[in-house]
Amino acid sequence: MLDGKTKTGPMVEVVNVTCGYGNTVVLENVSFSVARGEVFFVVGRSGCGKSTLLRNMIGLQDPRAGEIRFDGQTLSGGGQRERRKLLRRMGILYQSSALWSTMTVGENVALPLEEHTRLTRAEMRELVAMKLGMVGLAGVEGVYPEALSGGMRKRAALARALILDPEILFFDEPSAGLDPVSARNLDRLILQTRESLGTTIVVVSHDLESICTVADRVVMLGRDEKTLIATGRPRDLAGESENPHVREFFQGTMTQKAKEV
Amino acid sequence: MDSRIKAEVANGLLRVTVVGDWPLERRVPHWKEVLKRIRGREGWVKAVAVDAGEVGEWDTSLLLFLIQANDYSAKRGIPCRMERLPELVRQLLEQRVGDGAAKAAAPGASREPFFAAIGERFLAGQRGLVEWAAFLGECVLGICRMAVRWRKFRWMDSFSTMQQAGAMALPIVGLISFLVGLILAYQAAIQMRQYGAEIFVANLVGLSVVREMGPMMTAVILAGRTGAAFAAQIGNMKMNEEIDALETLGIQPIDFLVLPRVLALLIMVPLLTVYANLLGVLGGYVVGVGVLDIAPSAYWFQSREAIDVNDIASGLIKSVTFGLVIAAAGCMRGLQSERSSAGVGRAATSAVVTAIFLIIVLDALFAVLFEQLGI
Repeated sequence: MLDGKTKTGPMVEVVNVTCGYGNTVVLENVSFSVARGEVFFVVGRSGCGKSTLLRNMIGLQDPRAGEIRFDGQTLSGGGQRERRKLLRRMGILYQSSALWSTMTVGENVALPLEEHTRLTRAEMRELVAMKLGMVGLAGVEGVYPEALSGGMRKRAALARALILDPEILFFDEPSAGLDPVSARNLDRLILQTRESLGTTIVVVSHDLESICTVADRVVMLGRDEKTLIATGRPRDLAGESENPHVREFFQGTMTQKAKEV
Repeated sequence: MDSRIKAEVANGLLRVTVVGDWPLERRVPHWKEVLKRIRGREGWVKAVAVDAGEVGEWDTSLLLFLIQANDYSAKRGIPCRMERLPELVRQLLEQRVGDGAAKAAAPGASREPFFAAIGERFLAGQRGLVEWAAFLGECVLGICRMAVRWRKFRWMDSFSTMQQAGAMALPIVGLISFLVGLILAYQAAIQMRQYGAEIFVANLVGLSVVREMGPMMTAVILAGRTGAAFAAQIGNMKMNEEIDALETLGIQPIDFLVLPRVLALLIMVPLLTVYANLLGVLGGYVVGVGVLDIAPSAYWFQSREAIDVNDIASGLIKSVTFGLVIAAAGCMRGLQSERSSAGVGRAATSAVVTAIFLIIVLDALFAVLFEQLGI
């Protein structure tokens, strides 16, 4: 489904969402929208509810209140069939990669195809090889995930997330547990994906470097405020935000940048 | 230099001087020692002063002592002055006093009242039942889905589970069943010998093994071996977000993980039970022929006479339900597991306990049922 660009309207709309787990509410009244083809970052300090918001967005939890719409549809709105159809249009890269450990990398990447398409084995093999090549992992089909390094696992998981040509890709802390070089390579892959496939990309992260180099637009969540505290381009937020928390968060980036120069 | 304290009381002021090195690895004085020194005069103390001016090398142990001094005076409501503290000690102490205040402000975990605890237990039990019902319902829905989309069924997963849980359990199931048959035969022999009726050892062993011990021992071994493995594996997958990854692909974990395992055990537990029955009878045979001097053909004939097809069938019917219970308990506990290594451990334990408990309960129910039906 690479025709996403021809449609109009925002890809994702988060409308007045309240979410939490157990008895705690972590976010209240969060609203934002993500445009098609945008690289959108949800940032904030640890414990501010980024991951919870992501779990709500990808349908692992239902929001306590409010709605999350993809291309005008909600995950929980329709029946099982609609939900599956909608999920098929998303790809998710989990923080821990979440490759199924009892299956080889090739089987991991192929499983979404087995579930959602009627391709033949040979066609699947070809597609898997292609996507693995795209993420720079050609020829590891027969290897089990445990034999890969952290960075390679992330890339294999990205290949799996990309296999159905999703219109929207979610990344949960992509640079967590990676060395700086691997993290930057992954950033580059994110941008490449957007360039080549026009995918809308939503990233949950607190990696300042990624935010400043990759993000088109950012929303920042406040831990104490329990809602959005800033929206905008990362460069603008760093200098101009009135909220001291936002400045503090982004100033870290700026000083880092300054050191590099 | 040794860590020492000097304590003196003058004009209501307890003056404590810390002297020497205060390393953690050595026994350093406790505040109690100060009190011991001033025994009898404690009532006069209206203020405390601790002087650390003569301290040598020190670490946290000095801090500990000062904290004890602080707590003591706070408890008695008298002022406590610290004199000539090393700068770092002063900072650490201030930090600790701040933390302590914060801790006092936070509500402590109060003990639950007795009846509330009973109520909680009851509610937890109720939740457990609801969870079981929900899980079994999900399984039934999954079976319906699979009936329609049987091509998508993970046959290979099921086969590999059959190998893991079935073929690879042959040695342990065989050994235990053989030994159980052996033990039963010995126990029976002691009684039967009194009447010169050793030949009936064959009846006793044959019937107990085929009706009870074969299915039961197989189920208990598999609960420990395979049920725990299911729970640990699925719990680990949950911890590693692998279950989330399935769900966001639109794949139900029930279809993908649970049903292949349930199917595998539904097939393997009865098959293993047949094997356990054979080995159990063989155990009795070894004792009968080897120790009791029963002729091999006589033992064989007596066993065939004693064991009816109904007996074997009743054992096998039970074993099918045992297989279901083991697989369901393992998978359910795995899916309910918390996302931590301790949680996975608890899930595995709970899977085994649940499975064995249900096996025994079911066995008792079957005993009553078969009795009523006259099987």
